[in-house]
Amino acid sequence: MSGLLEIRNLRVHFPIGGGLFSKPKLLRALNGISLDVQEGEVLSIVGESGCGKSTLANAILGIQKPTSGKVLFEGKEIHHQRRRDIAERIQPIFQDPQSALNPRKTVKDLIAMPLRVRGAHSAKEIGRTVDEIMELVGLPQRLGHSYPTALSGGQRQRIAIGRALVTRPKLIVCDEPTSALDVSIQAQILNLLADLRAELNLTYVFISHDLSVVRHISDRVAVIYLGRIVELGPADDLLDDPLHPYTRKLRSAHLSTAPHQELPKPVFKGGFPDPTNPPLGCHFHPRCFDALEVCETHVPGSVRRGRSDVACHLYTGLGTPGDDMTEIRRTGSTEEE
Amino acid sequence: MTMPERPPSSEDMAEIMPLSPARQALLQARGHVGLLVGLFVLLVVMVSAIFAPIVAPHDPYVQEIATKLSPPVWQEGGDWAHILGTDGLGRDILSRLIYGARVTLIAGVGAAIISGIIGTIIGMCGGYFGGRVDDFVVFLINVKLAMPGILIALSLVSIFGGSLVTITLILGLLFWDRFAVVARTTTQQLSKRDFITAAEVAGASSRWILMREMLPNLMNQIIVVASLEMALAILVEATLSFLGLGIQPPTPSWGLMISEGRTLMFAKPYLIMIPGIAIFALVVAINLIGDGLRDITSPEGKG
Amino acid sequence: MPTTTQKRPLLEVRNLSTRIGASHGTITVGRDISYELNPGETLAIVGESGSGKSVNTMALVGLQPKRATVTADKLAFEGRDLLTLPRDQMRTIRGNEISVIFQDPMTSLNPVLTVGEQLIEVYLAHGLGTRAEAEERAIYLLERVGMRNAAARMRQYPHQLSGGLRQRVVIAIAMMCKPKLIIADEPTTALDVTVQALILSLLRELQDEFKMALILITHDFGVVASIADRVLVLYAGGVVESGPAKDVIANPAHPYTSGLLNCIPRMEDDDRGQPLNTIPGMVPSLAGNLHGCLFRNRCALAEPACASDPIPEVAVGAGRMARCIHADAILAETRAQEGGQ
Repeated sequence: MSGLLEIRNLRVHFPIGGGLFSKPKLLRALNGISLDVQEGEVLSIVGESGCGKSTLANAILGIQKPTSGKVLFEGKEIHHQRRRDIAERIQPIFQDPQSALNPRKTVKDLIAMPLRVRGAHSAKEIGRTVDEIMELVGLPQRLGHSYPTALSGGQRQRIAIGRALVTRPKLIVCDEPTSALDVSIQAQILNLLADLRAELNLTYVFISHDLSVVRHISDRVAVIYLGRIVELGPADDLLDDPLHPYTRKLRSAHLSTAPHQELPKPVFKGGFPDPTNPPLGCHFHPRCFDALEVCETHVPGSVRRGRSDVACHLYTGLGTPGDDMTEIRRTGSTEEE
Repeated sequence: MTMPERPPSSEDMAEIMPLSPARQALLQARGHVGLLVGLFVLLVVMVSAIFAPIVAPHDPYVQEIATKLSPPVWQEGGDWAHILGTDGLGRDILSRLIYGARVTLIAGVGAAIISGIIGTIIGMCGGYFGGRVDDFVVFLINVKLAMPGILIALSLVSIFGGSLVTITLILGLLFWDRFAVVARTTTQQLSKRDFITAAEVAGASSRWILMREMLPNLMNQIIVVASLEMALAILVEATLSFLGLGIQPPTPSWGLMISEGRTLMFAKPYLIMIPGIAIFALVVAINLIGDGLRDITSPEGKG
Repeated sequence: MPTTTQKRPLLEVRNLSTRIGASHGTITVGRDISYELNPGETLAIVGESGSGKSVNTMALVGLQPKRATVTADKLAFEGRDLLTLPRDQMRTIRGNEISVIFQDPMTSLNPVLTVGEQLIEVYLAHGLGTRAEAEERAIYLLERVGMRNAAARMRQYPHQLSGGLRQRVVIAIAMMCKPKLIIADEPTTALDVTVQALILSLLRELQDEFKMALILITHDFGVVASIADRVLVLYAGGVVESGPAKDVIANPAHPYTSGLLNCIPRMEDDDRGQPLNTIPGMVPSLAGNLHGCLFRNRCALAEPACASDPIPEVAVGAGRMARCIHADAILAETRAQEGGQ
């Protein structure tokens, strides 16, 4: 089944450091990601900072060139198209509205920016579209000539959402859109995103670290660890019944507001590994309480369990001695079929 | 709890005024004494320079040997006909000062504009494109910083001659480094902000991003630097003229006036005091403006 | 050793108010905040941005903004009045007996000094002993906050450490002088959730071991629920509700607390597709003369009486208070809700 967005074995590697006298190290920000996003769904991407979430977002937006692999939107490779054409169909919403809005522009100018860049519209047309968008995201007209510094965090994020919608895109990449906001504002913005999705038939790729927000808004969730997807499945299955040990740890580290909440037990062995020198085999094995011998040497391929795909040797069946381990070398990615 | 469903625009904005950043700065400027004093002095000099033929009591070139070396009114033998006295050739000092302000301001403003444009473009390119471009920009800035500016100005003026246009051009081409440094660092910081990414995602060209997204955010700092560069250019112009390499006589220039008064410095100190004070006051005023602008536009500015 | 009478709290704050003078009048960012903190206790001060949770707490140790005026009927740390204390004595207390941990470990560490130097510096600056003793304690504390290879870590610079490790160093620095109270301002907000859990349990352990009290400034009710003994909910510079953390979160008695808790999507509820509850309106301006309940313009239960001063503190259960004339009714309602679940 092909979706609105298809990501095929995407790798993004950065050379980092390195100067006159030292060779740069290779940071494998994304190391073989494969993912389909269906039209109208909300797919959340969760993981710790440095896991490659933001690089993935940039690759989907077309501003990060892949080292290898493909990003297809409606069947066409994004990185072979002009950026303006992609911008009509894929738009971003950023984490911090303060950083996302040019402080020297008025609300209307901010929202109109993508249209002006495209340059194919009359001033009158742009004015009308901007007015419609302001209405849509709940910004009163009288704020049109205000500057973002004079507005509240929630209003700023509405402007950012309006700017993302002004080209009438199909896919919105939301990078932690509420984590810089107060909880009461977060609720308003999440409701707005849900309404807009229903009204405009939008598809969201939703990057977040807050599992309760993820649970509230998403249909499916992908968990990323050091540039690889370790688990992908329906939000309910994945969060209620996590399969991968890493997902389980993430789930238990989440502090809910339930009054009987206790502090989770120490969740990991060791710290986050050096991403330029990731552990061999399953990247997670040094921190995993369930690690098997095979985890140290072989990258687990992805297997289907229920409605989820999980990349872990607890499920590949390769952990038991006597198994033929040669064949899994081929499945370095989480690609299905 | 009974909570209303979902208010479409729930945030009551009644008390927030839609003030532009420029208007806010203007409001703050009203309370900044240094800035106001600086602006007043600059304004007086500018108005008298522009309307010199109306304001000046005498023709600055007319020599009246009969009244030469007449002292200013507050000294003994002073005369209201020549409020600031006359020089060794009997020319009215006040009138020469007023006409000289034209030279001074054109050199100062012109040099600041030229160096501002050059430096800002170089700095923004380095800051935004990074990599090789930035390496080259840093190299240029370092080369410029290693050059003794005034010496080079001196030698260039002695080669090309000392007209007002050449001096302004030379100063403009020489003093862009501070603009470049400031523009480069600020652009670097701004490049990391998401509104730049948003414009990139929308497919904006580099020129669009630099001119329409970056530049408005650089203006504050550029204006501050421009005021300091203007003060510097005025001083260098005066120095060159004093050394006889700048504006050529009989064109009135403040530096030249000091130079001409030099021979009688001990007998008639007012000949160099008056243009000296003029230069000092103007440079201080411009620096006050620069500091004031920095105060009211920086986020730490007084509220 | 000071022989404290058992009843005396470590910290007593009565009617703390903070005003900031601005060109267009005074802004009251703190209004009659009162609380007590017992030795070894964890108090969470929770609120949204603009609630004054940081300003009013940092004012305890004289770290308020320059233009702010702090007044209080009583501000006593172990019986000593913090308000009238001379500057140098305040400096001795700050860092020595009260330590502060800030949100961003990168900015609170000096990038050009090694971890070891920064730890030792604190110890020596307060004249607590020799360099050798300082070094010994530094290594001990680094190990205690969970850093392996402490001796090697001492020679590293902050940029060589991950965010979580940096925050551990910050905690170790805060512990160098055996403080009786740690004020932590959003100590885990800049960190990943997995690291957050580690840092919080570390704080908890250290607190038990060294009998420290902890004031935790946070916006996150998840943090409050998992670590705090008591909670103080601030809104627009005033305390709207306080009490044992678990009780307050289970059955809030103030419409603001209850509204705020209802805004948070819950892991346990299957509420996908349902709109979240929101609080209409926004925080009022804190300029000029303030009177009555400042939440009334956003409150569904507001009535004319809410505009009159003072709004009484209604005692709702053991050690609990809510500053709302409807407190009892709301408590009953939230109890019923809980029962219905």
